[in-house]
Amino acid sequence: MNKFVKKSLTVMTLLGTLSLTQPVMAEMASAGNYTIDPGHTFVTFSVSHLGFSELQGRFNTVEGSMKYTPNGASSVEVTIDAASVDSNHQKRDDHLRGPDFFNAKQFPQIKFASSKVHYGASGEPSRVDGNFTLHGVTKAVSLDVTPVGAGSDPWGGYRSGYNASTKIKRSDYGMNYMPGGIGDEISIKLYIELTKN
Amino acid sequence: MTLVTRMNLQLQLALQVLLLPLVLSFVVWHAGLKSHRFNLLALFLIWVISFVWIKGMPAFPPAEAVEWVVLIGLLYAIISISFKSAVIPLLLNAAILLLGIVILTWPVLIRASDPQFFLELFLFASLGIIIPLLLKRASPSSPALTVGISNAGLAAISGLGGSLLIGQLAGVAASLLGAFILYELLSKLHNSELPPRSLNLMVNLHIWLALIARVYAEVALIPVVLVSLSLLFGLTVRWRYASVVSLLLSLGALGWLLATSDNSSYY
Repeated sequence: MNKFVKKSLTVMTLLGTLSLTQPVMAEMASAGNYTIDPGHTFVTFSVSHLGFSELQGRFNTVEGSMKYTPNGASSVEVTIDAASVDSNHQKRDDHLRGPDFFNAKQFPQIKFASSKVHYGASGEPSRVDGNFTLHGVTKAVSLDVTPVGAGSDPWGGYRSGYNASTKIKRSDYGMNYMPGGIGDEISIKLYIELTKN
Repeated sequence: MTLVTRMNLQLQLALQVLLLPLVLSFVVWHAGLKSHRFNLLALFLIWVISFVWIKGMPAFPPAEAVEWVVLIGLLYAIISISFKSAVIPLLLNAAILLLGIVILTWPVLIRASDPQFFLELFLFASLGIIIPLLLKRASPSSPALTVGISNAGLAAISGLGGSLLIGQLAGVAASLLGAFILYELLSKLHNSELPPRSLNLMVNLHIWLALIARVYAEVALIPVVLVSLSLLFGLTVRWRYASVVSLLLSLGALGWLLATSDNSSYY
């Protein structure tokens, strides 16, 4: 391979990389129907372990959709596969999936379905009220929402992203085993990226 | 949280699984010998009290399989004490056992398509039907010891293999027979004071808990089969030392689990 071809390939690779890593412009998401991109969506949780530390975990299988109308009647649904729980320890994950905690065979899905979307001064979603179903029990929760970005992606599509968080008590959902060792309060964080349909 | 609190967790575990059911077992044994009905109800009540302490009040209607065990067990106890005979008719016993198996596994049963799952359910059901059928003929001399050994084995494999909760509940089912086991040991495995009525309930309780361990906690098949064989052998083989074979089978289940799985603790 001669020097010219090598240089050209290097320049093309760099340009390609730059175009992929170019940040999207911070803009408000446009109205429309969106689908969660599971490859860029993370649902994590943390819980106290014996009061010594905050154990971190995540769910590896998440799907859902959003119907977005700026300052209007938007809605969002998220479905999580309870069996996809991952706390970076195979034996603990097996335990979490079992009847002591998630009981994933009986309650395979964890769900959130919005009932109302609240907007901040900027016109972006700031809070989402809805029903959270865990362990077969459904309760009302509120998610604090931070819009991250929206815009066209390098492949000609359109994406928007949000971070959301809430806290629940697992005992409210009938998940009340080992109350002394494992904390009752669970912090849940969602890092969601959606593609416009 | 301090070290003292962590110690308290271990102490709490010992109190829940061993001390409370054991102490209450001696109370029942001392007070309930004349009434087999009282004996049955009291033994089941010990298990329910421990259940509430370990898991909290069961929801009504039950939401989870372990909560259903409380309701089905109570149903069995009420039906059993309403009969004058020493044990309830075999057909009725089988019907309640099967009802329990269907209800406990229902959330999985409705989605199941794996033939192995149905085969395992069939084995559990067969075990629960065969044991009472053979019990009368075998009249085991140390039934409490056998049930205690099998439940202790189930507690160990569940605790190590997938569910500490099922381990605790099976452990309670072993400990609450403590006084009856001691009596059998002191009589050198010649006599027992565990009424057949109570024995049948304890057999069903073992099968239901083993089923939950297998279906929901996915405890390995071979150890579950071994502890179930431990129950079957000890109760149906007419031999004074059948309970020794039961012990070996339960130890075999534990040994198999220890030899084939990751035993690192993370709790």
